[in-house]
Amino acid sequence: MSEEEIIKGCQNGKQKCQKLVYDQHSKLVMGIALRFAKNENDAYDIFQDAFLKVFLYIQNFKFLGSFEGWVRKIAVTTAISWYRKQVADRKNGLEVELVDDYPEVSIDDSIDISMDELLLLVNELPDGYRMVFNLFAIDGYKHEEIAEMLNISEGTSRSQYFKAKHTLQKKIMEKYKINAI
Amino acid sequence: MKEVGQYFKEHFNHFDPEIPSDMWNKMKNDQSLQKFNRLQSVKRVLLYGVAPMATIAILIGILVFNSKHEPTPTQVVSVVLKEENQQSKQPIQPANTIQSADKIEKGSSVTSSKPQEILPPQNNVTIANQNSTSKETGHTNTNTTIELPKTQAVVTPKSDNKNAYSTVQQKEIPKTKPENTTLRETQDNVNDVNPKNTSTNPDPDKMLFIPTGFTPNNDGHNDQFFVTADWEVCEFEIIIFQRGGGIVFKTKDINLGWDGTFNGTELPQGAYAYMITYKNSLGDSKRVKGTINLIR
Repeated sequence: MSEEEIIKGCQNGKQKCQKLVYDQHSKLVMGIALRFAKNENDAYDIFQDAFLKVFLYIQNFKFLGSFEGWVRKIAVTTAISWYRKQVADRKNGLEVELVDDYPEVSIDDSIDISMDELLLLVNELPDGYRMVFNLFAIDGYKHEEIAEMLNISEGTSRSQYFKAKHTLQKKIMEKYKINAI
Repeated sequence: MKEVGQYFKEHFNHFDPEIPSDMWNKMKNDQSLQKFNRLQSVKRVLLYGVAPMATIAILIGILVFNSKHEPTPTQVVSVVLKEENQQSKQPIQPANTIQSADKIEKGSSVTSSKPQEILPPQNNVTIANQNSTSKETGHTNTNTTIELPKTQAVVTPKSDNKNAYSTVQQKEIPKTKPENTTLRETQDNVNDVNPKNTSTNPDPDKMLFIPTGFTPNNDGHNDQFFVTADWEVCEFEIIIFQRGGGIVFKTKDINLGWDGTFNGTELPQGAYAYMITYKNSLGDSKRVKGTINLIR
C-alpha cells in the first residue's frame, strides 16, 4: 500500500491503515514527546494525544506537503499545548530579558554521553527552557516562530534558549568534567 | 568544542526511542477514535454503497417510467380533472399534458377570464356533474363549445380525451374560439414566442402557431421563421423545401428558426413549402404542411 492509500484508509476510519501509520511514525512522535515532556509518563500521554489528533484530523490532510512533516507538526503542537496546560496553574515566570547577543555556549564534544543521559538532561530543564531549547535547537524553529507558538516575545525566546544552553552546559560539566580528569 | 544546541541536535538526530508495546492497544480503544472510525465507515457505506444504489434505482425507475409512457413525457392530471373523475365515477383516461402546459393553461385561463365573471371554486363540482351528464349526449367536437351558452359553467363534452383541455378551460368565453383564428391571421407576421398568447386554444390539434411569412432583412423584426407551440411539443421536426423540392432547412429543435438561407446563401423571395411533424399533447403523431412566404 502506498502512503496515499494508507492515508485515505485512515480518512475512511480503517483501523488497519491507522496501525500502519502508527508503525511508521511512532518513533518520530515518541522522540518528540520524550524530549518535550518532563518525564516518561507525560511523554506517553503526549504521544497518545498526538496520535489521536493525527487520526482525528487526518481528514484535513490535503496531500500538499509531506505527511511526515504534518505528523511532526501535530506532535510538536500537542506537546506545546500539553505543556501550556501544565503551566497554566503554575507560576512559571518567563521573564523577559532584552539582550541581543548571547555568548556562545560550548562543550567538549569528545565526551561521550549516552542518549538516555542527554534526554534526562533535557527533561530536567524547567518547562520554559525545555520548550524553547527543543523547538530551536532540535526542531529547527526560528525564534519568531517559537515566540508565536508559545505566546511569548521573541526576546524571551532568545533568553530562554541561552539559559537552557547554559544550564545544560553546567550540568554536563559537573557530571563529566570530573569524570574526564 | 561544540555549541551546546548543535551538540544536542546531532545526537537527537539518531534518537531511536523505544515504544511500549501496549501503546497501540491502549490507543485503538480510545473512545473518540472508535467513534470517529464508526462515523467514517457509516459515511463510507453511504457514499459507496447507498448513494450509487439509490442512483441506479432512480435511473431504472426513470427508464421504466419512460418506456411505459412513451412517447408522452409526463402525465399531469389537473386537479379539476381529478375531481371530475371522482364525481363521474367513470375513470377517464387522464389527459397527457405536459407540466408546463398545465401551468400555462391555468395562468392563461385566469387571465382570460378576468374581464368576465370569475368562477367560484364550487363550480368545479357542478361543472363536473354537468360534464358527466352531458356525456350521454354523445360525442360532439370541440367546436360545439363555441355555440354553447355563455353561462358560467360551459359544458364541454368529454367523450374523448381531447376534451381534457376543454374541461380545464371551461371558464373560457366561447368568443375566443372564432376570435382566435382571426387573431392568428392578424398575427401572421408576428413571431411571438410567448405561448400565452395562443394558449387559450384548448384544441390539441391546433397547438402550433405557424406564421405564414417572414422578412429576413436583419431589421430585428421577423428575421427568422419560427414555429411556436402552445406548450412543449414532442418529436418536433420541421423540413422546409424549395420550389424544386430540395430541402433547404431541417431541424428537430422548435427553438431554431430559419433565417432564409441555404448553405450560407440567401434564398430569393418566394413561397417555400414546409412540413412539420410532431406529437400533440395526446401523443398522436401529427403532420402539418403549408407554405411560408419569404419576403425580402
